Amino acid sequence: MIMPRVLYVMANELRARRRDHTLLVIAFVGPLLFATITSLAFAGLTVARPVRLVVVDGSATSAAGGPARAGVVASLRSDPRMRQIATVDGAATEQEARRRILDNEADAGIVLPAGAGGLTQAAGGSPATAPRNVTVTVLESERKPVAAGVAEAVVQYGGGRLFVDQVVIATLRGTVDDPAATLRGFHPHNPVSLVDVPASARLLRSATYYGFSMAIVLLLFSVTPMAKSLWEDRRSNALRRLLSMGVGRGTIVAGKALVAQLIGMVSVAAVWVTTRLVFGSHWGPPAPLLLLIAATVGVAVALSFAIAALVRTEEQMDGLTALVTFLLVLLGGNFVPPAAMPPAMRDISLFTPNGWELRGFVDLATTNGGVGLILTPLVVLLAVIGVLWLIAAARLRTLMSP
Amino acid sequence: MSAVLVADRLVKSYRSVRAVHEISLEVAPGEIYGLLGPNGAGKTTTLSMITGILRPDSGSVHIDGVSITRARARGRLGLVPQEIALYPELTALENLHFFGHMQGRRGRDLQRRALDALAVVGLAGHAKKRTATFSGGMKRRLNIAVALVHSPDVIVLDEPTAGVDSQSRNAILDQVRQLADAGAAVVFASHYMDEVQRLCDRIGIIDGGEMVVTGTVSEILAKAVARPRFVLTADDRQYSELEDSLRTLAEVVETSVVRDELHVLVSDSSVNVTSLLHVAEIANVPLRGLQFIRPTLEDVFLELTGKALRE
Repeated sequence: MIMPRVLYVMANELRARRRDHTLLVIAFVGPLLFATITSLAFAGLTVARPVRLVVVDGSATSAAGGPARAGVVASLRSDPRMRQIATVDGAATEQEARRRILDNEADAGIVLPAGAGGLTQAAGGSPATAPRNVTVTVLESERKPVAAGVAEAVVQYGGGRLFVDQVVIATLRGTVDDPAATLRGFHPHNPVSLVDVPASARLLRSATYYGFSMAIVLLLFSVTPMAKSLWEDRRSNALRRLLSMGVGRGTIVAGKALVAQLIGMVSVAAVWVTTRLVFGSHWGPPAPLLLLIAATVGVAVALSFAIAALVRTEEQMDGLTALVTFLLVLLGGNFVPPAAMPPAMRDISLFTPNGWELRGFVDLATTNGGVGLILTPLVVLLAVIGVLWLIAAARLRTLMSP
Repeated sequence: MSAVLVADRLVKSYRSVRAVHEISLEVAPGEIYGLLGPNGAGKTTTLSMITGILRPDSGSVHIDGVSITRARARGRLGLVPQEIALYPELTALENLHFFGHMQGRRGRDLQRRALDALAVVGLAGHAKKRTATFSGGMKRRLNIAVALVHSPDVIVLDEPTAGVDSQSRNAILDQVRQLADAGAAVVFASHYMDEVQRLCDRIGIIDGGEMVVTGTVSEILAKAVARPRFVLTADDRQYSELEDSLRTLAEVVETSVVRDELHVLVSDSSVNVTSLLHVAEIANVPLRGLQFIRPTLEDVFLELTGKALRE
């Protein structure tokens, strides 16, 4: 079988990288050092936070979350005693509430009963059809027992009776003239039974978060400069020679990009294996994780070629690469997790590809979910890759002209 | 012999700047065509179009009737770029293999061609050494070998001797001559007039994107206004009487004293030296030195373009 030219370009690039020790440093030595240092440095790190509750309607299917959630959130926020011990926010779905707790954006969650609609009907209609038992679920994190206790206290206040009243009133508000009067005819038995469930199947350790986070940093610093070899080929006239042989520009770029992708993936995988074997970090199920790693490396590679295409000298490439890398790691949450950032910065992190990479990673590392769990981050990262390659394609022709 | 490489009225502009305007050249098998021109003359642009790297605005390049835009024609052309277009981390043989693969060569055939190419440039004993460890001259020779690995019919060399010592330079020029003798059509671009004059069968001088003159060395020299001249030096440096006597000779066009030397321009190189010596003897001027200087390409170039070649 005749190997396509792109494979020869890849083989040549890989051999050159092996000979100049780039492969060894980027794919193995660097990741091992990073993995070891970050795991040791961040192993015992915890961040103290105020109690932040998140309320979600268990039957909600839309971002609006239903009238019950909005009403309960407003009711709890308006309570002056509540304001002293916790902040309350709403979440669209139970999955989002869990994710926010895992991302450290919230400390505990209260899931309103899926039968909130039934309560409404019962209260407004026949009491005989009212549910006899109401189950309110408290989402808690093992790391935050105080927050879980606050959430349980809120639900069980007044024997649970008051909380259910709040739910019903909130639900009826806008549908009947006097929700409180309607409520007087509604008395379900055992209004609250508490079910504590961990917010996730797995807790996210700081060492795990920073393991992946630092792998991205390493990637940005090591893989992003790799497109510089295009400039080197241009300087040495090897590019000119290849073009005279009828080798397409796309073939040359594809060969170099695929090698960068390969080295980048080995680099992140090396951090993964090291943190897993030596420090017991769990990064999530392998299949979706590999997809996320591939997309993460893909962003670094595309960024590399976009920068190479935009600059006019090799020195400019060094400068711009360093600048972009620093901005991304600072804004994206590689050093400071988004949950620990001020809200504005948290929003800004979503304008960076690494912010989405970290978000996808947190989802994977704390659950056993599949690809569906990180679909949004994957789509965003693919879009970023597409845009960066469009920029590169528009300008690489100039770089690769004789 | 009919030309294997034909470039016909090549035109290339960059926005409003005209880089090359209607340049044509033909090179036959076994012929070495020298391309001369100062920096910015359009030499590199012309070579880029000839090698298919750059698409001309108009005009065409064919190798044996096949357009250079076709892979079949590209496969019959070998380019030796001005810079060392090699991968320093690879060995000489690995460089040849890589570029050979890019030319579609495979397996034992490629291995044989690579070793042959190394032998041609005298690097057979260095096949497995890393290119980074080579001297400048060795790199230059390997740079040429890479262009030979697929046995091209047309070889384009862009300043192949730039920055090498005289020994390596002579070796390279000998190799280029051998390639032409073996039947290759060679386009040889250089700044060095002496090597072009020594090596090339025909020459084209480019300036301002246009071909100023083309022909064999003797044809071009014949077109020149520059004349052959004698340079006489006398012990007492009193040339006035001698000048008067020399001007009586029909072949003498002009005399002048430059830095204690008497320059005697003659109409052609057939002037009898003994007649000059006889005149000097009659004038009673004892000569210490006599030198005959033919006009060079440098003179012609200066005459045609109004600038020195390395400007």
